[in-house]
Amino acid sequence: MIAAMDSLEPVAASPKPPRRKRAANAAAPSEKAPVCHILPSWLPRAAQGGDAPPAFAAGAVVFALDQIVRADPAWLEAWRARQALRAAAASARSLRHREDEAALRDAHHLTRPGDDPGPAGKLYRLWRAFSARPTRLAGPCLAALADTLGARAPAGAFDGLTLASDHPDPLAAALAAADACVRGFGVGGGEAAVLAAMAADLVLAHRLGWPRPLPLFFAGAAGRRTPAAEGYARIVREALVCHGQAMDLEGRAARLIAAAAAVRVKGADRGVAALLADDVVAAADLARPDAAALGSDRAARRFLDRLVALGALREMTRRPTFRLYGL
Amino acid sequence: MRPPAQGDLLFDRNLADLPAELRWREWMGRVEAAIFAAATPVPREILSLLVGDDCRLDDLIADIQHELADRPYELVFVAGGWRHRTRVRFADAIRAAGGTGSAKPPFEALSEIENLVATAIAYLQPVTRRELSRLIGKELSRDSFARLKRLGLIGAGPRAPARGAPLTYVTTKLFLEVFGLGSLRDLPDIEALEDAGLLEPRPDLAEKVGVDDEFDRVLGLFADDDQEDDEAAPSARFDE
Repeated sequence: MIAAMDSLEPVAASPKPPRRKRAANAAAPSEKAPVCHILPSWLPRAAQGGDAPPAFAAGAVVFALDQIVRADPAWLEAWRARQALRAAAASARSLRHREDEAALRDAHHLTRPGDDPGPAGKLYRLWRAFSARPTRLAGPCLAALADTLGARAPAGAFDGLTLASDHPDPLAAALAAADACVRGFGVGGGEAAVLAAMAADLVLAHRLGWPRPLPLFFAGAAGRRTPAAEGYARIVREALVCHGQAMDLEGRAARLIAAAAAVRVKGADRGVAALLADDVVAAADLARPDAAALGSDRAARRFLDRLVALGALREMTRRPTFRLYGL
Repeated sequence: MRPPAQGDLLFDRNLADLPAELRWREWMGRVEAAIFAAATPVPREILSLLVGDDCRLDDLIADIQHELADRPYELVFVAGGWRHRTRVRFADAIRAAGGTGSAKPPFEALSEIENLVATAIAYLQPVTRRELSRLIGKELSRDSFARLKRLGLIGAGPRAPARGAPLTYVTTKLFLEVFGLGSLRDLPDIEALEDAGLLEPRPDLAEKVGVDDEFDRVLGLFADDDQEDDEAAPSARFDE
């Protein structure tokens, strides 16, 4: 009986144990106890500017995020991609592109290989590439990103990167790196703000020992224009929102894995893995020959629609065609 | 095995044996020569392979520009890189001498409508032919787009999520180069247009899913006429 309890542990409630076990093995081998913990109720209040000093709230929320990244849950990549999307949307606003999150998604997913996703689509791809590459605290990496943005980084714009990382508080170090970047550029808006946000993410990831950066700082949130204390409070609030996203995704991922066990389709495990690894997927992404997940376009679409009908997946665009599915 | 971008093993980037001033002159010479010899704007990362690690490239380029101050050509930053360009006031002289004589495509021969299309795409990209036609209030022929595409000034963007999956268009690096822009932010009056809300998405112009309105019929625009012959049928990739 105790052994049975142990095997039931991986996934939340579902009526048929054997199927659940198969799906858990296939899609989420590392799924164990929940990795997101509910944050104490005083924390949001403290982040709003309560009695507790901001650094106290910051410590709590950074610890919570760190726990999630270290646990490396199956849905970590979906979380990362979604943060990249939010960061790209903020950057698009800062660069005065017209595109919102939905349009950025479209630009990335509806561009065929070899075509140009357009200025905003390129920005989103840049953030995705940024969050997918290993954390390396070096100026040339960011200078290369600046070139991709089409911005000319003045000499020494990223010198602050290494200096700032000596700060005792990781969040303050990240904010200092962003400040140094903005100072290096001499302007607070446009590409400088985007690169400042990336610099801050890199420093934070480096200080916390994360293998890859998690987009947490948004363009416009970090920079010279805001007073330090206010910028600090804002990044703590952003981190809380990010943690909320993680809690939400964890629940959705568990539901998806449970539901996928009920949908008996060949290649379902690969389909679930693809859904857990990105913000959204199109049916065509699951039917690509290299992924070879679900055979045909049509089969992939049926699989995804079935999961939507089961309430385990969301269709993000609300369009009858060109649909994009995600957690 | 070194990557080819790192160049010859014998190439000495740092020039440690030269005194500081000579070294600086040598670096200036190298950077200018590389830009002079290149057919396209030379990006920063290429230039940084020619000089020492401790060389401040921006100062170096500023020095070169200063030296060229009284020459009829200058060093400009266009399309993400550096290149030589003759000064604008000598345009007449070059034209009188019979043009550049190179085999470059004749960009000055763009028609008024092609200029309009290229400029409108630059401001509104990614944008479909139908959206642009609606905005301008006149059917823009596919030939203008085809010509711009052949010249390499515009390229294919993401598919618009509408019936027939029409192609959107975006401007290319060559567009920036030909029009002398460092980036799209250098487009004239872009701030004023944005502030006036003219670059916002317009629902009345946007591609609709499966709707053919009266206006389109007057313009002679139909949803399925944007599919290009050289593209695979989009329905093979997207759901219907």
